Amino acid sequence: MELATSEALNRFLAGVEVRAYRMAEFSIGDADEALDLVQDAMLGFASRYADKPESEWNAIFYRILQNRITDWYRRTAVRNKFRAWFGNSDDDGDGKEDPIQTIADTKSPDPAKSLYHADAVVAMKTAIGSLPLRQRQAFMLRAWEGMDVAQTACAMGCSEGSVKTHYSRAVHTLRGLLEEFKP
Amino acid sequence: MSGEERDRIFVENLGKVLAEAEESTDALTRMRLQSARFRALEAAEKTLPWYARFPKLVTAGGLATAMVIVLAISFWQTPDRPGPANGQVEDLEIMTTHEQLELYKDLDFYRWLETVDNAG
Repeated sequence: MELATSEALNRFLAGVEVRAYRMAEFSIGDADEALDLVQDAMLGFASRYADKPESEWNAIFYRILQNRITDWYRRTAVRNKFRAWFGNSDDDGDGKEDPIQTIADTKSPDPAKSLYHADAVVAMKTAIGSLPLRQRQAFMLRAWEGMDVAQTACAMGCSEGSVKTHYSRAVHTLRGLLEEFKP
Repeated sequence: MSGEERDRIFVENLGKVLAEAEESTDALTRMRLQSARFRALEAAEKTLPWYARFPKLVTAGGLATAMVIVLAISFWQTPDRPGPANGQVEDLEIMTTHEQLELYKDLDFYRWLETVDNAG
């Protein structure tokens, strides 16, 4: 790979990695799995699509990530079926709390604001998590990544009409679930 | 306010919270993402064949130019081959003529015979 391409690729991935991770986390609700998915998407993108024009990188990267998320849902659905058959629905089983989660967060200077923010994020995460996968993808790519309809269609691998439908339904559902964000 | 406008503001409000969630990502996660990125870049380097690691100008036009230069220098440096000498051409003519081979073998005899005839 050319040095210039390598640097551009590094810049691009550095620019999208945190958002991609948060999107994956919002989508699947598991931080470690989200990190694995983003890493996998970055590997796939850098190995196979780095030679594409830079203007197409964003849509291609998010398409790979969305495919990984869809695959994750399929795998999880199959795994859950097996667990249901064998009567083992809980991996951890011991019910113990993660000790790291009990450590106080000293980073935020304003606890009230932090609490409000944390509540808002949790509420939104729950609401977005309740959406069907395609609606969730359409909403996050448009509202969060700021893609237009055509770019979202490319990232989701579907028609622009489908994107409009998914997005409209997602916004309608979220309006019902997240009253506090209404104007 | 129209329904479309309300939706736009609603989505903007959600977008702000999502952006804040993105900014509040902890340092450990950011570090792990950075590490994943470096691994991806490394993998991208390894998957390319050796010639693709050179700049494209060098691989295509550069190699062609280099070949032309090498050929030009080799033609320029090669000394002119000396042409066949006249004597050698005559020898060649003798060697390739099968019919008169006997004559050339006994050439001394015929020269002597000629001198004897002239003397007589």
